[in-house]
This record gives sequence, structure tokens and C-alpha cells, in this order.
Amino acid sequence: MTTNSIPESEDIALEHSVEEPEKEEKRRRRLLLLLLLLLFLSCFCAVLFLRYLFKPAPLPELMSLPVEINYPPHYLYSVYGVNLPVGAAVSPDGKKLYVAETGGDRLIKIIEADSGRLLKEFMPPNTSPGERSPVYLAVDASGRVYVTDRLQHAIFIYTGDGEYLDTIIAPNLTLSAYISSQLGGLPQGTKYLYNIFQEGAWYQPAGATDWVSLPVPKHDGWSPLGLTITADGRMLVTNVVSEKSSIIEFPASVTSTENWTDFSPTFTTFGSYGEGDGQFLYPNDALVDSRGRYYSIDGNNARISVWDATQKFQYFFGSGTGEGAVSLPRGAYLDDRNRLFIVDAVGQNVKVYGVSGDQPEFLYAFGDLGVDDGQFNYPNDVVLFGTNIIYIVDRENNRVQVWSY
Amino acid sequence: MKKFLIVLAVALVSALTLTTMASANGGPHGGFTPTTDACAGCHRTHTATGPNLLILNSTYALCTTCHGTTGTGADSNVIDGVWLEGRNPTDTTGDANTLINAPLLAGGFNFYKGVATTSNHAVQETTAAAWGNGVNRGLTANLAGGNMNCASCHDPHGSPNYRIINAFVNGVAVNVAQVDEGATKSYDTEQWGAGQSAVCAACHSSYHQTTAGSGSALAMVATGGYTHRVDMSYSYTGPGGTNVNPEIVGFGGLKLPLAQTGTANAVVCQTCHLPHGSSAVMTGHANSGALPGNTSATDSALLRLTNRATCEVCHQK
Ligand code: HEC
Ligand code: HEC
Ligand code: HEC
Ligand code: HEC
Ligand code: HEC
Ligand code: HEC
Repeated sequence: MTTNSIPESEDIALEHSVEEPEKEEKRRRRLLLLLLLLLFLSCFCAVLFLRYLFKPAPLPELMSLPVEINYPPHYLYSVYGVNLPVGAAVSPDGKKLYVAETGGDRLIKIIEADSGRLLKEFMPPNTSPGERSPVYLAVDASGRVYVTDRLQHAIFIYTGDGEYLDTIIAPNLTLSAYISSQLGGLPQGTKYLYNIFQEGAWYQPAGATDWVSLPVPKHDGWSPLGLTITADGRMLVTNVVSEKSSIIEFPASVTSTENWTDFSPTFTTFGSYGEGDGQFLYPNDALVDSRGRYYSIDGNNARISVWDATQKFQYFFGSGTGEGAVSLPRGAYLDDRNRLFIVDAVGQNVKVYGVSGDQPEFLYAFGDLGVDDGQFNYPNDVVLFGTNIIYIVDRENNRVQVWSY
Repeated sequence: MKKFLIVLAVALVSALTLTTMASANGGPHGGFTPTTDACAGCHRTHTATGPNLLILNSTYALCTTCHGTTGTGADSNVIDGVWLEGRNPTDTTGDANTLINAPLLAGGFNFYKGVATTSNHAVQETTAAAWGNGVNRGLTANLAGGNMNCASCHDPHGSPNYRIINAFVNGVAVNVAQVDEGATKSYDTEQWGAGQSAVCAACHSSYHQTTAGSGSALAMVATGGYTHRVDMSYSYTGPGGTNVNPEIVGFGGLKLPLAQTGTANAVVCQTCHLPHGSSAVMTGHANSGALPGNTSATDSALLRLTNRATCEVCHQK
């Protein structure tokens, strides 16, 4: 134990000053200065208010702060009632929050963003809890929800209200395309199902009550995990299938199409399995910045790798020890202001990098290990609505935290 | 001072792991080079937190961050008991690989073969009392290291033992070499040798009966419960089935693995039990709810097969 020496109160009491006219003058000057400052501030506020009247927008946007003078966000509140959540996405209007669970019945929950109220829960049809594992989610421009499922080795697509639409079972095959190829076309109203554990695919003609089975579709050894839909509609998927791991970029047509019955996208792949340059081990996400550069969130190599717009490897960052280093990077999000948010599951925080320049710049980290408000216990994903509302999936604390600037 | 201690610990562990590592360990476990990068996946790199650096609030939570149902950091999903990828590395055809999601050799903690488990080892750090841990069968005594978690059996830093089993389990030295296929890891067949019983015996010592006739009625009375002799060889050829593969006992489509010990393969604890958890169904007279270790009437005591099929595979009746 060390004790700090605190000055005794008698020492302070000894100092007594006499009022002098000079001092009076000084005080007056100071008051004037304060008044001027207040005037300036109220003018500034008035200008902001006028601007707001003409074009309503959140305060940070109005002020258009440069990235350099950034500050960490603060904790607002938490959404509870989710069981070991791992992934999240927000609807385009910001009203609905989608959360994937790995505990309990492993459902995807739709939560009202403002109130934290549960609106609906859904899951891949025809699967039992031990047969599904929804992980990461993304929402397209029209609000449809895409969910990767590590046990099903597929991406399931739902409407914004959780109605099942289709399944991407290989980079060049959807369930509806498969059924259509088997039947020579897909009559209106045909329903279909898929479950990798049941070695087959099923369809139900419109109006019928029985399901007809079809041979197992080829799943081509792919394991979609990380998922991002960019502002221009491209879809990035990290494929973590052992030894053949890669990042797959799908064209925007994949997320703008009405349905996926005709599915033969021209996708590109880059990166490979390993520890070297341009490689990764269990990439949990892939992103694109405003300059078209690609980022892989390289979980088990504890780093972030960067490719240029032509998918040529550039460099990696975030490895080693110290401030900007990541331990086990997982879900990530790139906002409109080129801020890269990365959840560090073992670091127990969110790390933020500015990526508008040539080199990424570590800005700050927020959160720490714990169970209190604003503390994390194996967080796994982060998603923003706009540039101000941050949702962080706090797995072992069974909640989603909401932070704001 | 704190920093110095951390650096010392890092140096010590790296030195230790480097010198004792016999075979390459899977994933981020062991095979470390003297950089701290390799530790990052499990330990926080943020130096400012000081002593927190090595404090993990829950080992189970850490392990399932990679080995959990999401498979976000490994191919082995120990919760559902599945190996997430195809396990045939020579298959380059890209054909639908039926081995995707094949059951894990160790079983599963919550699900096994798609069905909820009926018994598992309590790894969530809630219990320390193990059956026959230096006491009679049917009685329990606490483990030396406190509540059980994944690191009670596995060394996350790597070990020369099969599947990075700790060199010391519950304070007892354990030696289980990997047999077959050299150092190549194949997660589709058991690669353990005869030492495997010693892993279980480290915590359940009184079940480790290796003398002939130890399963007889007299022994039962004397030591407090049924146990079966282990570490003896087993071979069978006769009506009703043959022991085709010397490392697998098979009968009527059911199979149990034996430990490879050269010519005569041995019966070990894992011949009958799964180390993580099982979804075997226990009903009727096989339901032994009242027996020790059985927390519920349908508890399967980590047995591989439903009801008494475990016995019939060898005692083909
Ligand atoms: C796969 C995850 C993992 C990796 C990688 C890892 N550790 Fe650990 N480490 C753990 C766990 C879990 C514990 C707690 C062990 C226990 O409960 O017995 C631990 C404990 C420790 C301890 C405390 C002493 C002990 O053994 O209990 C030290 C020191 C340590 N680790 C150093 C390191 C260093 C140095 C590295 C990199 C060379 C490293 N660890 C890599 C998981 C890991
Ligand atoms: C009672 C001891 C014990 C405990 C506790 C235990 N394991 Fe195991 N584990 C084993 C044994 C034994 C094997 C080897 C199984 C085999 O090959 O037959 C194994 C195998 C594995 C494997 C290799 C995959 C396979 O089955 O082939 C992984 C991964 C693993 N364990 C992870 C874990 C994790 C994570 C935990 C905690 C959630 C855990 N284990 C708890 C004993 C244990
Ligand atoms: C950063 C991710 C990560 C973490 C955390 C992690 N593992 Fe692993 N582990 C792996 C990978 C990758 C493998 C390689 C096999 C695979 O893909 O499952 C592996 C392999 C294993 C094996 C098989 C080793 C062998 O010799 O074949 C065991 C046992 C195991 N892990 C236990 C654990 C335990 C216990 C913990 C918690 C203390 C843990 N792991 C934490 C990634 C991880
Ligand atoms: C680290 C110590 C430890 C090791 C090693 C260990 N056990 Fe256990 N075992 C326990 C504890 C503690 C319990 C009681 C709590 C529980 O049910 O998990 C237990 C329970 C059991 C049960 C009863 C489970 C039930 O729910 O009915 C069986 C059967 C069992 N062990 C078999 C084995 C076998 C077989 C092995 C070797 C593969 C083994 N144990 C290795 C600690 C251990
Ligand atoms: C892996 C093969 C195998 C399995 C499985 C097996 N046994 Fe045995 N059993 C043997 C062998 C070998 C012996 C002879 C042991 C000896 O030399 O004492 C034996 C002996 C016995 C004996 C004679 C008692 C004694 O020790 O002399 C009984 C009773 C018995 N087994 C019951 C069972 C029951 C009950 C089961 C199911 C829980 C079972 N066995 C499963 C191989 C097996
Ligand atoms: C021949 C098959 C067989 C072998 C080999 C075997 N067990 Fe068991 N074990 C059983 C059966 C069957 C039960 C269930 C007992 C019951 O419910 O009647 C059991 C139950 C248990 C239990 C739960 C507590 C209890 O008494 O019910 C533990 C612990 C256990 N075994 C440990 C071991 C250990 C350790 C070994 C190796 C030294 C081993 N077993 C080898 C068949 C076997």
C-alpha cells in the first residue's frame, strides 16, 4: 500500500489576499471575454439550427467532422433476450435489427431497433437446432436478409420479415435453380426445401400437400461464413472450406434480382488458405472501402489483409502487439466515412481504423472485458446504421449493445 | 514489474513448448515460434491491461469461440460433434463429399449425430466431483485443479500427446502417443494407442481394472460398483460376425474402436465410452438411472451405443 501525501488544510487557509482595483479590472475583462464566447456559440448554434431546418440530419453529419479529430463512441443501452448471439444486420430503414443466435434453438430474431422488442423469429425451414448454425447476416438494398449457415454450408435468403425465399448451396447454384433444372422450369407457387443432413432436396407443386424428393444437389465443397453486401450491391463471401479457402465476390445482379431461379453469376475469387501474404485462416469477413480496396478479417492469423481494387494483394496490418493490434478479429463493418470497425473477440473490444488514406490508421478502441454496461464478453460482430448508431453482438453476455457517437 | 513477469512467462512457455513439441499440433495450438503473434488468438495483445493479459474469464467460452457450433475458427465443432468439412484430402474432384459434417471421434457436448446428447462431460466449469477419483466406484471426489473445463484434458499450448491431451491430467502424468499415419492428423479414424485408458483413469482411477476377472460379482461388491476389465486384447472370429479390421470390433453393423497396440489390439475405456458426450438412448432394462454417474434415468454414461449394444458387439449373444 502506498499513501499519497495530501496538503494539510491549514496551509491553504493561511493564504489570504487583499482586494485590489487591478484585480477588479481583470475580472471585468474576463467576463467580457466570456460574453463574447457565448455570443459566438449561440450564433454557431443558430446557423446549425437553420441548416437543420433546411436539411434535417444527425448532428455529426451537419458538422462534417474530419476523420482525424475522431473520438470514441459511448454506450447507450443493450438489447437482451438473445441466446449466445454471433451475428447482426440492420434493415435499410434502420428500424429492424436481425440477430443470429447459437444458443437455445439457434434462431434468427427480428428486433425492433428503437424498443428492443422481439418482432419475429425464424430459421432455415425443415431443420432442427442441431442441424443449423446461422452466423453472419447481410441485408440488400430492398431489405432481403442473407444468412450464412456453417452447418448447412449454405447462404439462406429471406424477406425482410423472415419469410424463406431461397438457398445458395454452391457459388453457382441456388436451390430454386436446382429444382428448376430438375423439373425443366419452376412453375409458379412451387415450394422447395433443403437440408444438408437429409441428403436431398424437396419440392411441393403449387396446391399439393406432399413433398417430392430429388437427388442430392452438388455442394461443391463450399463453406460460406463472412458476408457483406456493399453499397453498390456486390456480395462478398468468405469461403472457409479447408485448404480451398477464398474470398468470393458476386456481382450486384445477385442482390438486385427478383429471384434466383436463373443463377449463373460471374464471380471472382482471391486469396487462399495459409499464413503467408495474401492468405488467411478462417477469414470472418471481407469488405470494400470507397477506393475499391478489399479487406479480409483474418481471424486465426490475427491480422487484416488488404488487396487493391484489382484484387492484387498489398499488405496486412493489425498483427503483433500494442495498441492497434488485433487478437482474434471477427465481424467487421466499414461505414460511409471510411471508418473500419473490427470486433476483437479475445481482445474484448471494438477497434476502429481510419481507411481513407493510403495506409490504415488506428483511431481508437472501445469496450473492455466484463459483464457491466459497455463491457464485452467474447463479442463477435458489429454493424452500423448510418455513421452514428453502432450495434455490437456481445455473445457470452447474451445481448446486443448499442453505442453512439 | 508486471511487464517483466509477462515477458518471462512468454519466454518460459515458448521455450517449453518449443523443446517438448514432438509432433506438429493442430490449429493455433503449439508449434509456436518465438514471437508473441501465435498467442494472440487466445490471449489479449493489448499490453495496457497488464495482468489481464493472461486472464481468460472462461476457458469453455474461449474454446467454443473457435470450436463452437459456428465453426468460426476451426473445422471441429465440438458442440454438435461434427467435423465441418470433407475429410478426404485426396479428393480433388469437387464431388459432393458425403463426409461433410461427419461425427467427431470424441462425440459432441450438446448434440451428437444430430440428436441432443443424453450425457456429456461437464466442461462448463460447474463441477469438480469425478466418479472413482481415488475413491471407490460409485463415489466421487473433487479434481485437483478445481472445476472441469476443456483444459482439464487438453493443453491449448500443444503437447506431444495425441490430440494435445495434457501431459498431466488431474495431477497424474499421462502418456498417449498418436499411432498410425505418423504425425499426419486424420480426424476420421481414431489414432490413439493403448495409453488411452490412462487419460480416463487419471480422474476415474478406480475404474482402471486391468486384471482378469475384475468384472466379476465379487469385485463389484468389494469396490462399490460394476466395472469392466480394460487394457486386455480382444480378437474374435466366429458365427455372427468377424473382427475384420483389427482396430474395430464389428457386429451386426455396430462398431467399436480398439486401441492399436501392434498385433493384438486392446480394449480401453474409449472402446465403450466417448470422451465428450453421447446421444445414445437408454431405455428398458438398460436404463440404469439409479446407478452412480447417471444423473437422469435416460443418462447414457457417455456410452457409444444405444442400450446394451455396447456389450453385444463383443459378447455376441
Ligand atoms: C488455443 C488457445 C491458446 C493459445 C494459442 C495460447 N494460450 Fe496460453 N493459455 C490458454 C488457456 C486456455 C490458458 C489457461 C489454462 C488453464 O486453464 O489451465 C492459458 C494459460 C497460459 C499461461 C498461464 C500458465 C498456464 O499454463 O496455465 C501462460 C503463461 C500462457 N498461457 C502463455 C501463452 C503464450 C506465451 C502463448 C503463445 C506462445 C500462448 N499462451 C498461447 C490458451 C492459449
Ligand atoms: C475428459 C477429457 C476431455 C475433455 C474435458 C475435453 N476433451 Fe476434447 N478430446 C478428448 C479426447 C480423449 C479426444 C480424442 C478423441 C478421439 O480421437 O477418439 C478429444 C478430441 C478433441 C478434439 C479433436 C476432434 C475429434 O474429436 O477428433 C477437439 C477439437 C477437442 N477434443 C476439443 C475439446 C474442447 C473444445 C473441449 C471443451 C469444450 C474438450 N475437448 C473437452 C478428451 C477431452
Ligand atoms: C483461434 C481459434 C482456436 C481456439 C480459440 C481454440 N482452438 Fe483448438 N484448434 C483450432 C484449429 C484451427 C484446430 C485444427 C483442427 C480444426 O480445424 O478443428 C484446432 C485443434 C484442436 C484440437 C485437436 C488437436 C490435434 O492434435 O489434432 C484440440 C484437442 C483443440 N483444438 C482443443 C482446444 C481447446 C481445449 C481450446 C480452448 C482452450 C481450443 N482448442 C481453442 C483453433 C482454435
Ligand atoms: C479431468 C478429469 C476427467 C477425465 C480425464 C475424465 N473424466 Fe469422466 N468425469 C469427470 C467428472 C468431473 C465427471 C462428473 C461430472 C460430469 O458428469 O461430467 C465425470 C463423469 C464421467 C462419466 C459419467 C457421465 C454421465 O453424465 O453419466 C463417465 C461415463 C465418464 N466420466 C467417463 C470418462 C471416460 C471414459 C474418460 C476418458 C475418455 C473420462 N471420463 C475422463 C472427470 C474426468
Ligand atoms: C471390446 C470388447 C468387449 C466389450 C464391448 C464388452 N466386453 Fe465384456 N469382456 C470382454 C473380454 C475380452 C472379456 C474377458 C476379460 C478377462 O480376461 O477377464 C470380457 C469379460 C466380461 C465379463 C466377465 C467378467 C470378468 O471380468 O471376468 C462380463 C460379465 C462382461 N465382460 C460383461 C460385459 C458387459 C456388461 C459389457 C457391456 C457394457 C461388455 N462386457 C462389453 C470384451 C468386451
Ligand atoms: C466394456 C465397456 C466399458 C469399458 C471398457 C469401460 N466402461 Fe465405463 N461404463 C460402462 C457402462 C455400460 C457404464 C454404465 C454403468 C451403468 O449404467 O450400469 C459405465 C459407466 C462408467 C462411469 C459412470 C459412473 C458409473 O459407475 O456408472 C464411469 C465414470 C466410467 N464408466 C468410467 C470408465 C473408465 C475410466 C473406463 C476405463 C478405465 C471405463 N469406464 C471402461 C462400460 C464400459
